[in-house]
Order: sequence, then C-alpha cells, then structure tokens
Amino acid sequence: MTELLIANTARFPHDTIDGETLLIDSETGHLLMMTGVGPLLWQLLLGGVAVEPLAAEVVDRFGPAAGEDCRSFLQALAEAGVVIPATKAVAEAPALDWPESFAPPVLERYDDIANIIAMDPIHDVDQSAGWPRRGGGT
Amino acid sequence: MTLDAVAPALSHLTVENGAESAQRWMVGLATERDRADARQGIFRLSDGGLAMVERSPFSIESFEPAHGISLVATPAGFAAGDLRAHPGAFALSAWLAGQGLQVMHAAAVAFGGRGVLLVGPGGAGKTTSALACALAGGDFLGDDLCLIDIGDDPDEPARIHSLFATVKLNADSARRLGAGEWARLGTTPRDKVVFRLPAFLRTVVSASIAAIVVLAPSDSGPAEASALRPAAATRALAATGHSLASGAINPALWFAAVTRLARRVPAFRLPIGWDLGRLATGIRRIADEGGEPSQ
Repeated sequence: MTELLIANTARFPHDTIDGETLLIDSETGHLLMMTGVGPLLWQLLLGGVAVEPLAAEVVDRFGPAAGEDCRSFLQALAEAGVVIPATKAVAEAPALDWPESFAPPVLERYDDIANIIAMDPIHDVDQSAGWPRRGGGT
Repeated sequence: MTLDAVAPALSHLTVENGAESAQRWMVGLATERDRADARQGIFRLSDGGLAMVERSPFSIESFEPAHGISLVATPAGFAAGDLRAHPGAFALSAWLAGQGLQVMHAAAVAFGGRGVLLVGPGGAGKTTSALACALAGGDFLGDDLCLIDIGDDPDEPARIHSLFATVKLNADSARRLGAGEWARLGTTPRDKVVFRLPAFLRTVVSASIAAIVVLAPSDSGPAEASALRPAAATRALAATGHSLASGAINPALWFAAVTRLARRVPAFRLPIGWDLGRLATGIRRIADEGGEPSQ
C-alpha cells in the first residue's frame, strides 16, 4: 500500500462533532461518516500519515486484527478518494488520545442529497454568447 | 396572469419601502425566442448568476446580480403547480446563498416565537406535521422550503424565515387535514394539489429556531421523542440542501452551515403517525421545553 496518505480536504470538507467525523463529497454530494477509531485516524490523516508505522502502532496497542482493520479502513478511504498519496507529511502528527479498547474504524456513506444533485447537472455559460441560448455553454 | 400566479405564495411577505436588502423581481410571459432557444437545465452564468430552464411546461427563472430575479413562463408554465407553490424558488436560493442564507428542504412552525425545523425525506410527513401544528394554534412558516439564517455569532439564535404561504398535499393528506375547501392553485407532476394557506391559519415570517425535529415512521425505534447527537442531526440536515442541489452554494460552505446549525440547535427524532393532535402536542412540547422533551 502507498507509503504516505493525506486527507483530500479539497474535495471532502469535514467536521468532527462529538467524536464523529463527517465529510461531504463535494463532487457527488454523498455524506460520509467515520465511526470507531476512524475519527482518531482522520486527525493523523489531516497532516499526512505513513501507513505501515501507523498500522504497527495499532498492532502494538490492540493486536494484529486491529492492525488489519486499520489497513482495510485506509484502503477504503483511498479507493473512495477520501485520502490521496502524499510525498511528505504537511504537519507534525498530533498526540492522540487512544481509547482503552479498539472499535474498528468504519466509513459509512449516505447518498440522500446525491440523487437530487445528479438530476440536474450545472452548465457553465459564456454570457457573451447569451444564455441559455445554444450558442453558449456545454 | 403572471402576478396572479406568484402572488398567493408570496403575499404574506412585505418589504419596507426603501429597504436596502430588497431584491428586484421581473415576472413576465416568455417570448417565442425564449422558447425556441432555451435548453433544459441549470446554467451558471459568468457574472455569478444562476438560471434554470424547464421546457415542459416552459419557464425560466434566474438570478443575475446586476438585474435581480427574473421569472418568465408560458401561460401553461404559470399554471404549473410547482411554480405556483414555490415561484422563483431556484432564483431565490441563488440570490440568498450570496447573502449567507440557506434555503432548506424542510418545513417549519413556531409556538410563541420558538421555531421548530421539521426535517425528513420526501413522504416523511413534513407538510402534515406543519399543518397539524398550525391547526392546533401554532404559527406556520413553511411546508417544503424554508430560509435559514445560521449566522456567525454563536450567541445569536439561528432563525427560520418563511418563503411561501402554500402547501402541497396528496389526496389522502388533504382529506385528513380537512383541506377540501381551501383555495387550490394547481397540481404538481406528482399529483399533489397546491393549496393557498387559508386565512384562518396563522403565518409568521420569522422565528428563532428552538429545535430541529427529524420526523421518523411511527413503527421505527422508540415511540417517544429522543434526542439526537449533532452528528446524526447533521446527517438529517445534509439531505435538506435545496441551495446545494440547485448549485447556488459551494458544498464546503453548505456543509459548514449545516454543521454549525447542528451544533447550535438541539435536535430530536420524533416518530409520527396520523394522530394529528398527538403529533402537534409532541412538536409543541419540544418547542416549549427549550428543546428538552418530557419522557
């Protein structure tokens, strides 16, 4: 797996409320929610994190299964475009308040608004050609 | 014909003479050229405006910063139920997003100035809930689209502003609510009847938001109202994004507004059914008790 990953905040505006991290995909309108230790991992991803050292720390703290859960979660984030490869960390890793017991990180997706957005794609129009005349826009 | 089409929905709103925040509206019949040249869709204009074209029946509504709001349609377009229910909703959304105000797909009522934002997917009962409350003596703010002012000052309450004094009801809901004699304005493509809100129901133009109520089916989860975590409230609110769906607002700004609202206003899940008295009582209790429902 790619060595260093960083949160794709340009595409995914985010907020963490009461320990749950929410993101909105600005391209599709999907709302994503991280639970378990996902919000904790997200704090690291905001500054960039090396995958294997992180997985190793999780294994040290919670065991091999937890390490695999962590890798799977990061893989899922990468496949969704929520995290992207990075060449270097952009911030010092924050000191994390790890929980006593491990709750697997989960990424949930909700598409309630996405279907509405998909119905009406937005066309950019060159007003010099007039709108919504056929001469302008896509 | 043109003003008659839009007036019922908007006549409850007034603007003070010389108000700086007033926006110019142009309402008129579509020309042959409009009809011939226009393509269906939403268009982002280079001056920051937005326009939406519906071809069947024909209408164009737009907001352009230099020209204001424009709504042109054919006679059939002006007779369309959706237009008569929410005239200029798209253009309003575009204009108001630039003012930092969000148009949300939600209903709203108020009791004693304490507003409740009613949220849920289509068919959840937003309109029924709003009307049940109004029939029980509450103040009606909206059944489908409301304007939300969240503001940057955490010490100032978020506010709901009314947009349209109309409701859309299917036949069953109309019968149960006794809307048979209300003035009908049109029918939507989904066979909902658009009614003008009758004079005996009180409307208010604005209220502070005391609580958010997420409407749930009566056969799901706990039978009584239950508090929602802000993250769960955010999820419910995120699906209300009329401004977002219309392209009027950047998704990051919309999301920031929604999470700010979810942090600032207590939210509750309320299962609802056809006992309209119980429904209105439940919502009123949430409004009255500072967001703390009795158990």
